Amino acid sequence: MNPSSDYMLGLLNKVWSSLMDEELRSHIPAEDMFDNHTFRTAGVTILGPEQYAVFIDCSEQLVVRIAASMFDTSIDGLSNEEIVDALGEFVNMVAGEIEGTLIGNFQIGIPVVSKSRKHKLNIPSSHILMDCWAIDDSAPIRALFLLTEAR
Amino acid sequence: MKFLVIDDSSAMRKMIIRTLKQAGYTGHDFKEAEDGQEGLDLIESWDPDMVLSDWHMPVMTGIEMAEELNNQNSDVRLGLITTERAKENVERARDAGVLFVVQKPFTVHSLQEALLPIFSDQPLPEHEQQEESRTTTFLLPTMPQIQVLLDNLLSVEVTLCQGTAQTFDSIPLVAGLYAGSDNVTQAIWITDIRAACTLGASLTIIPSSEVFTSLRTREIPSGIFDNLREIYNVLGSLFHREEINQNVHLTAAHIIKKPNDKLKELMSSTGVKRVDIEIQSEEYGKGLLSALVVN
Repeated sequence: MNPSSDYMLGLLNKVWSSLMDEELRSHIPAEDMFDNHTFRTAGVTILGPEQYAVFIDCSEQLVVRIAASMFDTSIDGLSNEEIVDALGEFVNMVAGEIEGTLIGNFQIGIPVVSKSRKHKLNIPSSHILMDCWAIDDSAPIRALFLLTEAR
Repeated sequence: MKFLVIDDSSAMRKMIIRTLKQAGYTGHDFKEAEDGQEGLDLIESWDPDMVLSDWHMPVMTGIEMAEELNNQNSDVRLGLITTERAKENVERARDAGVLFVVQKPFTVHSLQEALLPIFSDQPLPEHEQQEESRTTTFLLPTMPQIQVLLDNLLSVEVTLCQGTAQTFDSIPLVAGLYAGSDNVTQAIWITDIRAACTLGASLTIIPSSEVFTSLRTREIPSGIFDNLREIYNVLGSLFHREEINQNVHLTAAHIIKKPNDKLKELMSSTGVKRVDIEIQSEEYGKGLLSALVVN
């Protein structure tokens, strides 16, 4: 694992452990991961002197655990709206942690959350600053920090 | 007391309300709003005692709502719970009359630390002051009463003896705030970190190594804090308002890392009824525990 992904995992874990009372472990994704897991993606912009974006690419198994923790309910009792809401707030908090490390006045946007999918997330025309994969109970999650426009 | 929680995320609103309850703000009224505009409408129609709002929301942001309230000379108490960290923005919020900015992800302790100075400084409305001065004589607990209660409650034997006033050397302190049916703070239990650990650990027999780590790092772990809050809950029954046979209830428990001037003044005031006790157990050591009646 390189230093930037190590740092990203630390930020991700700060948010994760505030909800789950445990920490994610670093993980190198296997070739067949996208065959075995369904993902949801949440993204948010951080706008200021430069433009950044933060994405959380999270297996459905972990998304429902995040939502169940936030709503303090069982994973069976969650609506799709609640799951989307929870993942949006999760990426918002990770973006807040990242914004705290940036120099200058930045504003975090309103998060967007994708429907579930089985293919790998691709974000063209951007420069990856930090990227980490982690795992909990065999279910993967990815945090991605991108520079989308430098000034 | 009425809390209004404003956030565009339903999950976050639920988390904030749950955390407030974990922080000891139980038995209060909570309402929710999805954005600043809906928040403004509820502030006008419901008149909450405390508003906790997100910053970034559609329709109207938290800072826009704060500035609108400031323009209206509103006296509603407003705190922001947000991912926003930029110094310029936090200063903008302060200028708009926001009392505190708590960062997400938040904890029970970070919310407690933000709310404590607000509610410990809460003045009585004039008509309540007059009424309270006529009717309120809360009785302080006696040492035998406290000993009997702790003997029945704790899993480890503790001994009590006359103590001295808190000197603020053994921080953080942990304060339990109590109110009657009017929800105005009337009484306080307060422990230094040593007494907090001794009491908290004695409830469920937490390993002494965890207590010593806590004393060394000056961090009170959640297990000890949660136990202490349970003990505070029970200790509240020892404050009694004799004339109308009324007891107080625990409204909040706070960790105080840095005692403010208000608390220091309160702890040194000769006009406050108080009892100071040294509590000791063989397993966990000794510390100071004080009970105060503040009206």
